[in-house]
Amino acid sequence: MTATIRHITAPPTHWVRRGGSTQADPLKAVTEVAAQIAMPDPGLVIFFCAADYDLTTLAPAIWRHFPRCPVVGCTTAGVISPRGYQSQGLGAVAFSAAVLQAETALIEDVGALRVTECRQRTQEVRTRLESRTGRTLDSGTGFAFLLCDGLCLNEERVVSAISATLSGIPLVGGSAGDDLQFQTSGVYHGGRFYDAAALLLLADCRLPFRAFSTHNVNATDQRMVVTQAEPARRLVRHLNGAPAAAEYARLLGLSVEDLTPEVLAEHPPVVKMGDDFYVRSIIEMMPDGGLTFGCAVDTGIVLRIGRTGDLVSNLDTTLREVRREVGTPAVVLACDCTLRQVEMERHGLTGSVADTLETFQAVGFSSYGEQINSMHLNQTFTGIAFGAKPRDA
Amino acid sequence: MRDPAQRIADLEEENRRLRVTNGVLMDQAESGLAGGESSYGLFQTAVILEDTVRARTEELSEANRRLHMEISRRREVENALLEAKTAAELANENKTKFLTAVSHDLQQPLTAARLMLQTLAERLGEASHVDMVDRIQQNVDMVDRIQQNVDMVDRTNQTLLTMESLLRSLIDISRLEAGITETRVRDFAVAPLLDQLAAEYGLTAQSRRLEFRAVGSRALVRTDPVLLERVLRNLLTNAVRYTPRGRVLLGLRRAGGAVRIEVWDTGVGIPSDGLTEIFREFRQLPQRATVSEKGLGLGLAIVERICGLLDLPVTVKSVVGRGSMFGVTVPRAPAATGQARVAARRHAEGAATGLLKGRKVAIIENDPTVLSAMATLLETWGVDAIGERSATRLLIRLRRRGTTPDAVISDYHLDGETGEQALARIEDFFGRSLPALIVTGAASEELAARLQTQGRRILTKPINPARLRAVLQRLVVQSRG
Repeated sequence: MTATIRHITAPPTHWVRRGGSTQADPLKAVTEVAAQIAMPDPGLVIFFCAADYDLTTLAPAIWRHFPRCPVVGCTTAGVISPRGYQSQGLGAVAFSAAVLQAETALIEDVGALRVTECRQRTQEVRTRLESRTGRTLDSGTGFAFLLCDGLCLNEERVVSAISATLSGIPLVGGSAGDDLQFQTSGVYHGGRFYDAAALLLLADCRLPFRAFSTHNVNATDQRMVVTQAEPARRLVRHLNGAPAAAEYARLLGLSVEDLTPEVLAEHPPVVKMGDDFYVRSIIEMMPDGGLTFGCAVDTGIVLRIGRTGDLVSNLDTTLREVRREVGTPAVVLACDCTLRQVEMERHGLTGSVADTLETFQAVGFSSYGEQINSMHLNQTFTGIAFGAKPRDA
Repeated sequence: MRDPAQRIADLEEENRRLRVTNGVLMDQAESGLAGGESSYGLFQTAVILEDTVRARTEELSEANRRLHMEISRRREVENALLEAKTAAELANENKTKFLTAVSHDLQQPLTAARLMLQTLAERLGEASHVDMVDRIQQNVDMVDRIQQNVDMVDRTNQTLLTMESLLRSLIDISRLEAGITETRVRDFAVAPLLDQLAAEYGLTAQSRRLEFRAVGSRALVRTDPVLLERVLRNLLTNAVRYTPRGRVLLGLRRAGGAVRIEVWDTGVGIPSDGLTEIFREFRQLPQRATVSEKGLGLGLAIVERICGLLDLPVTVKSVVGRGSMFGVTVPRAPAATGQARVAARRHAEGAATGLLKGRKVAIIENDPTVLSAMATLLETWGVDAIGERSATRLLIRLRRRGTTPDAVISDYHLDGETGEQALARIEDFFGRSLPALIVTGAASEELAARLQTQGRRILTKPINPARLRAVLQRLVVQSRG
């Protein structure tokens, strides 16, 4: 992945500022970004960083720059900043306290999530925020942003527990990454990174906003049944009574050896529920012929073979629709599945997608999974777009 | 060809896989669909929840939209009601102001009339107690006082006439408001109406030293003649009232299948923001207010209502300080037939060939204003009017011109003699009787009978120009025959 330096087309607003750096040195990167997003009274800072930074240096440096407002962030499989897609470096966005008030909570040990405790945390955050702003959070003024450990294999339970407590307030989130090393990912809270944790942010926002999720995968008519699975590991051992990888390859008309990450990214399995299709991406082929997925699987579910369509126009259409609703965005907070990057790079789309994202003022990261409301999804572009003009202005 | 044993093995393998798949699906079917505490179950629940939420959101936004529409509809109704209420309050306020004004306006002439009558009564009382000697000694005084008394009666009469016109406006507007005004639309020639109005308002205009012109027409129109007359009277009254100097013009122009009767004046004019305001009842432009002049501010409200009733468009053009034009557009009678056409032709002929044209008519009238107005009226009919304020002056003038009049009009009350006596002197001078007309305020039956035996015609004041014209025509025909 290459960093593309581009001109910032839209005028910066004083409510929201975005920044990006490709500096390998964490201190220099933080200094550069902090200067770009500096504002008199920040209400929230969100940052996304490459996983190869020395996090013990990065973490306190960020904290020092923004000591008085909530700062959240996570490690990633790539950063989206005004500089485009970055395989390294730092991207960030700051919201003025004049338009956004936020409260955060850390939910630790999400792999063995205690649902009751998770709900309680969510309720506490909400209560803190409401007592600070003096008004009840509702779906028009409040939203939740979730950054979850991307290796916990448990996002379904986390979002299910949280959104049950949110009573309709939209939630958007992404799973933290580690540059496709699949070793460890970190979420940032209170000045340090936490492993195996989820960071929940609840905000009361005067800017108009809209949560959305889109993907470019179409289902084919080729169906298969998961005949043996290990749900806890998101592992499918057998499809149609045969070893999963071999059967998947056979249905694609390929041999097992042909199932490269690129092929798998372009032909993700899809489940049909009602009239809608949901992508269940394959992350990895196991030596024993099983397939691990990026989201929950179970014995007995029916999968279809999917095929990716026009990623660029799908994204563009979605963002235009969102813009019609909130006006020219001040920022689009983006959780963009890392598998989409695989496809973009293979087809040379990275530059034009980055252009689109810059047009819509995106800041975000390449994620290991995306969450919207109570759903955990794969291979989507999921985010929140914020309009530039406060609703009550 | 494949080895049959291999084929059997393949089929058995496929059979096994199908059995496994089938078994899994049947397990799945038995365990039920969504829900469960597994991660995938949670995902399924999430999807279903999402669908439910989406459906509910759509329902809510639809309900919200309807609610908004309902709210804005109600707000509109509320605004309309508020507007109506404000209008009603304003109207009420205007009416209250009006009632206060009108009771004052009616009271004032009544009070004046009462005072004048009281004074007259006292004077009569005094007069009867004064003895003969005093009377002779104060002869000159007496003449003066009688003259004053006569003036007072005139003024009382004038005040009562003003009241009559005020009351008439009130009756008109209340009939229009109550919707009990009947319309009788018919075809008629507009010329007689315009001529009559021209003559009358010409007199009024003359008394205010305004120039008055009227343009004739042979047009046949279709509307209610009585109501149209009310409209034009109101427009003319206003034109004369609001024109301190200059001209008033009564004209008519064709406008497609209609004619527009126009009243022009060189008066004070109306500011453009007052152009709709003036049609509301009880609204008047600021002006010098004397009871007899002021009226009630109902004129244009009556005009608008009558024209609304008859569907006659009203046009207003005005420039402040320069004057105004009020026009009423009246449809022409579709096919000029029957009575209307005959009447129009007859009228036109009357005007054109002019039974009166070139006739010499002598007028004796001691009020110079009335004299001048009447002369002008007669001149509009083509009459050669010779007016003087006494028989003596008239005779001097006639002798100087060496002419004999075709007819004589005389006021009954002249200075120092009656019209009867004046006519006698004139006839003596010419040595023969002349067709003559006596104009009088109120003729006693005795006087009327006497004049008739002398072959005099009588017209009572106020003079109706149409009647005056008819009488004059008869007189000149008589003189010829």
